Amino acid sequence: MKEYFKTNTVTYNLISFTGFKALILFTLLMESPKSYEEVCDFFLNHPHLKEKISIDTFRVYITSLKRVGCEIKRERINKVSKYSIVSQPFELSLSEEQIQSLIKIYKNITKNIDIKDLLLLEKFIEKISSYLKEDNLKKALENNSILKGYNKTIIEDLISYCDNKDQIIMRYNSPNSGEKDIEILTDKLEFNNNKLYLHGTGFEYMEYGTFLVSRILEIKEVKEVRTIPTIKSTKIGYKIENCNLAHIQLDSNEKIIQKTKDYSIVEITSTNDFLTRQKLLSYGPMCKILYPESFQKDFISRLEKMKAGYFDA
Amino acid sequence: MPRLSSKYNDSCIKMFEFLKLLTQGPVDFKDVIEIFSDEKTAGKSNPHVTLNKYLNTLKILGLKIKKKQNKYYLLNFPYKISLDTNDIKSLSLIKQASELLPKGKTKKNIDSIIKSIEIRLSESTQAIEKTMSTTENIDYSFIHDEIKDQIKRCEHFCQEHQKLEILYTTIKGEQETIKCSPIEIKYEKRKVCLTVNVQSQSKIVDIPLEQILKIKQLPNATTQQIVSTTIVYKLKNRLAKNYKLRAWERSDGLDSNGNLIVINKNEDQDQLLARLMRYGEECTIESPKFFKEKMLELINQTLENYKN
Repeated sequence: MKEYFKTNTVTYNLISFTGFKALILFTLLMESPKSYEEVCDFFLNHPHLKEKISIDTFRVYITSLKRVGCEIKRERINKVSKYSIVSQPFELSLSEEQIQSLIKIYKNITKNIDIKDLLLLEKFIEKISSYLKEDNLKKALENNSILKGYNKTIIEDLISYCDNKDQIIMRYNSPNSGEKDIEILTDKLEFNNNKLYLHGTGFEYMEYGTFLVSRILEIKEVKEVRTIPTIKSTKIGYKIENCNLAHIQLDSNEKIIQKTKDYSIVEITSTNDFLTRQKLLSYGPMCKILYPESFQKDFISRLEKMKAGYFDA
Repeated sequence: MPRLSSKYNDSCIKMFEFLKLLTQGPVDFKDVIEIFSDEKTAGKSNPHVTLNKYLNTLKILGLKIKKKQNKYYLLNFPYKISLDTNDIKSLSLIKQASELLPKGKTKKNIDSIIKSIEIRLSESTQAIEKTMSTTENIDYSFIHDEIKDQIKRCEHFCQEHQKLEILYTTIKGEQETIKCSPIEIKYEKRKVCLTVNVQSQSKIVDIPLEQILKIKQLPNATTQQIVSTTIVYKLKNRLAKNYKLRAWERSDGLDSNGNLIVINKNEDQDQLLARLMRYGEECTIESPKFFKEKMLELINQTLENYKN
């Protein structure tokens, strides 16, 4: 054996020549359908074999491979009989229980990775399922995918646009105004409450906003030149007790501008008052809006309308 | 099943039987030698010599077999899986997530999946795996290293099906003790929670692991049935049309006024209140009464901030 690795010459009484041929035949039939003649040619040109096999020997090998669990398909391709292995005993196989465990891990991961890594993870699981005989894993992923119902090509395109901060025109199915073209300077893709949103500055209202990716029908144009709009931003200040501050995550457009022993004052640079109001409403009595007055007044008016909703009936 | 011809090649069968045995995991020497101890040739050929011939054959074909402490290990497979750099990153991500799991069925299954994939990786894929730094360009922030042990501990509690007594800090900063049944570990954005069912109050609570001060396992077994209050709320206008039901919600669709009545079960009540507050005047709680009152109290308390 040591000599083989030095000289690459096979000493035939030190190996199982038949086993060697059987494994080579196995590899050949795994690659693609092969005729008896093609197998013979390969054996003849092989540096260690250098000889043909008879058709009877070939059939004996085929029977032997079947006996060990290989499923061999014989088909006529261009009027020639060709053989290929469609399944074999070394295939990857996953039990139903293993598939469920993989889906559990997938669910754990998906909440905390970005959309790019999520797409890669799904592609990986799809690739693994392509190696399985059954399609249980593929079905389990389809049923549990956080991207179920989304057009993955559109997502991939949007990822690239967001990376380049491209300006695009997209066909959008708006729930209020129906299908329309929207021009947007793309920023990022993010999940919120299990829904994927495209964030960016819309040119219609010159406001930073979010668009449901599931409502994007097509990307019609990617502008060659970006026209950066001037977006009006509002500084919104709110007061929050320090014990509550520990429970919330400040966003990138928020900063603490004052901190006392008991409370902090946080300032948001808001480019979309609707989204900011939603966020502050969810904090309930934990926070008090300090400025600007117009925003505070609107906030109070919303709360009063919410309260009235319970007495209207 | 079609009948197979009686003519077959014994060496071929032995070679594949040997390989099949090796693919199932480490094999004892005695089991290996049994394959090569042929009754017909007993006395004529030495099974040890035959085994060596087969091992040499496999080596020439590029299959690596290691013998350690009287056991044979197959280090690569005759059937290859080819993965690219991105796939390797995803595999690595799964490995990292598996490290958070406690010993048990799920961890065992995931580890065996990883092992059966890795042993089948093609040479080119193995080369990619070796050369690439698996942590590059991938966000492992979900691993939450600082609470890794706590995650494992809580996963363990979920598997044990024993009731728990938990002391934790609420969002109001108060300390609270509850007796509950652990359900699952929930991975939220930048946060990991232990979801529990407080049967005495018919509610589900998601406790962020960072807020847990003490957990005591009680001798009582948990009941399989989750006892939680059903909350019904109404969504109006644009939100009614756009709303995507959560997995734990149902609805019969829009009513004649264009409102959406949503039936919610098994959501943490404080989190639900915060979520519904976000919807502003486009949402009202229909039932139960106590939850409606809780929402009103929340609105009033918020308004209270602006008096004077």
